[in-house]
Amino acid sequence: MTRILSALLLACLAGPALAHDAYDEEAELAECVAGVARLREQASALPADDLSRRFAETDLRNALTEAEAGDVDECPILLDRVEQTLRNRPFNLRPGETLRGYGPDDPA
Amino acid sequence: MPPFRSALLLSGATVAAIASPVSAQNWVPAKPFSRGASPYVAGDMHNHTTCTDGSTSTSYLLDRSLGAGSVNGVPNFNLDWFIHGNHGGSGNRDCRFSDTSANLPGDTTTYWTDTLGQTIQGITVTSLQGNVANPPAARANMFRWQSIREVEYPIIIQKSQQYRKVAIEGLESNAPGHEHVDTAIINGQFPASGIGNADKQAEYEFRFDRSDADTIGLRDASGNPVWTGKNFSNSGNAGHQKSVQAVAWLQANGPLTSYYVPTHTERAGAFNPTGSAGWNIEHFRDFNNAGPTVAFGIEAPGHFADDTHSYGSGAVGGATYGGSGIYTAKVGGLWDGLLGEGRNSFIYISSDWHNRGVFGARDRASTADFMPGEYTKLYVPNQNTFRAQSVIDGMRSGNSFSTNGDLIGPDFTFRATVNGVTRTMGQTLEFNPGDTITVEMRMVVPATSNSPYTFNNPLTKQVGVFQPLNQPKLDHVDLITGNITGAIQPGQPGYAVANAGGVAGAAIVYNPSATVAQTFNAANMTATPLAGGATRYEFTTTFTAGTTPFYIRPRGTNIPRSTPNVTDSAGNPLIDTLITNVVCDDPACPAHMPTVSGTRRVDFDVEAWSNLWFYANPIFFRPADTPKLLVETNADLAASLATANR
Repeated sequence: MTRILSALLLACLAGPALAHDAYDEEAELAECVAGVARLREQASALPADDLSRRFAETDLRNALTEAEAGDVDECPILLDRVEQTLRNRPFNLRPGETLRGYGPDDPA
Repeated sequence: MPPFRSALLLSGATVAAIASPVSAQNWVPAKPFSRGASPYVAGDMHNHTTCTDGSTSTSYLLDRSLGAGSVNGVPNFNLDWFIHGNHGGSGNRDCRFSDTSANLPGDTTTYWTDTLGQTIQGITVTSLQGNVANPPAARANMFRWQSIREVEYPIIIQKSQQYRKVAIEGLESNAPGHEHVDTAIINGQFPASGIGNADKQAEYEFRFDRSDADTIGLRDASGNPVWTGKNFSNSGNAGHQKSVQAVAWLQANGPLTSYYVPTHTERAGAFNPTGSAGWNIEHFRDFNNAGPTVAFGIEAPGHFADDTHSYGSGAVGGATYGGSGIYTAKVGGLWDGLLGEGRNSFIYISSDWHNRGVFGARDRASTADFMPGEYTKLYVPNQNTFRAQSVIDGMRSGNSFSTNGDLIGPDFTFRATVNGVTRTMGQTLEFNPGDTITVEMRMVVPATSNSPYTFNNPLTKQVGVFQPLNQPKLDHVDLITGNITGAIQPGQPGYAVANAGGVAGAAIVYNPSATVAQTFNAANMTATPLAGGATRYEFTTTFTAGTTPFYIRPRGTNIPRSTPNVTDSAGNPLIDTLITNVVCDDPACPAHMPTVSGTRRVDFDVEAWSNLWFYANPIFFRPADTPKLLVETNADLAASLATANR
């Protein structure tokens, strides 16, 4: 979390117009974190049971997980995909459909 | 701090607590080679856990990958061997626990700072080492060199002994100047007796991973750093030079016990001289020159259930092609460019397992990755006594093939014969002009795969071919040939080739002589039904030798030529972004497929199970009494090193 807090501070100070004349891992991390926060807010505007919201939040979680692990290489790809998902909302359940899966309460 | 949890019992396998330190790998492999045994054995070398950006614990990952059968309906994938290729850099999660998102009972995200001083799975981490504040801030990161040494390696060895299978500590390194590379150095991991360690692997990570910002590393008993002289030039051309140094370090420290295989090589676009992005052909040449017995190939992208296989529009080629990047999918592409020099440059495919996207680890569906062995298998030769060294020897030899969706199994033969001399993948045959070269191929298509879907393949349905998605069907095999014009030296014209991100990169031709020389439809092969519903397919063909060296490499698929949105008239895979044009209208088409213009489309894991390919490595050919090819001289070097080490 220390890396994320540093990145957030950098993002707040630098603003959205952070320039990238040279490779800067911390700056890319800050951009990733800021992008995740922005899109998470957009996703939260969708209904809680919206399947596209679930896809978007999964990508955002993975982007943040990777950023916390020091890997920001895929972040722009994931953020771009989230933007498309939130714009187009291609995932939806038909009446009676669910996305079945094991939950944490299902026995091992 | 959370109470100690019995993470072992929650992983779906019943195992004893891990004793640390662990004893050496001195057991006899469970699959001794014998008459009738599979000539090849399956593994995976690229996969992740919560030590970095994965979703599952180390134990859970190995249980599912190496275990057999199923636990409460959740299948294990019974790989023969396993290399843990997890990221470098650092991570804040304790990989003795899975992430909450994996939906494993009682297993929730746990941080290193939650468990310091606790003994879990027989391992006690007392502090975060290196440039970490003491005491550390909440959720502080552990550098990967430490988690490799203290956590991953002991668990890997315990699982190796539990399943009596080869398991190796490796790394997916963040390469300076580039993106990611699969690498491993097994020195010290498997001593003949006593306690092993992964110190050399950890040292590599500390020195050469561009995301490892630690300045201290391992300390000796006096507190002095052991690994000194770290180079922190990590980007652009300077970063590339550091990567070349990394290869040279592997060549010096583990010429036969290590490998350096760049992965998903198109994904980050073309090389960026001021950043860390992709790879151009000259970089692979540099690596092979610096590490002739360690830098011997590239790896295709994983993430096969992801809708883009993790490739964005900026990737070289603009996306993937039949699940592969353009470097390997394009006839005459970068891979053919390297083979056209006669280089030992071989192809491998692995899972790149992280998570199942919107699904949990136990689910059968996935919108992101498959587990090791579930969908992709990397085959190397079986040995009378199969050891960790056997994996690296097999990869280096080029006698290797990879398949998706179990399109073909381990009973595979691809060989060529000239004048009574027979050679296989990675080897070289000499010929005289006009000689007849006889090429034989034999493969077994299993009755079923691990696909959870049984409805008909929506891609092949377009052309009237009905294939249940859990029953792989071979459509045809292509034999691709290319001329060999010799190794280009650094600085010579053609050594460096301008690259391009996006679809423009798909137009670059590296070996214009490469072509699909012959195609064999499964319907015209000799087909023999086998027990259990599998089918053996065989064919024999001939080539007439010319006057110049060349190679032959096979690829196979379940997709007929000219399948709309999938293959062109020559059978080449089209860009995978077209596949969402295909409607998934079977009533059993799962709910997680995207809807476009009111209809569900093929995507994610349904796309993966529908679009199956295998890639085998080449056999090389050269006129007799001509200088050896680079693939031969590098193999000779490996042989001489092996002799010297005895």
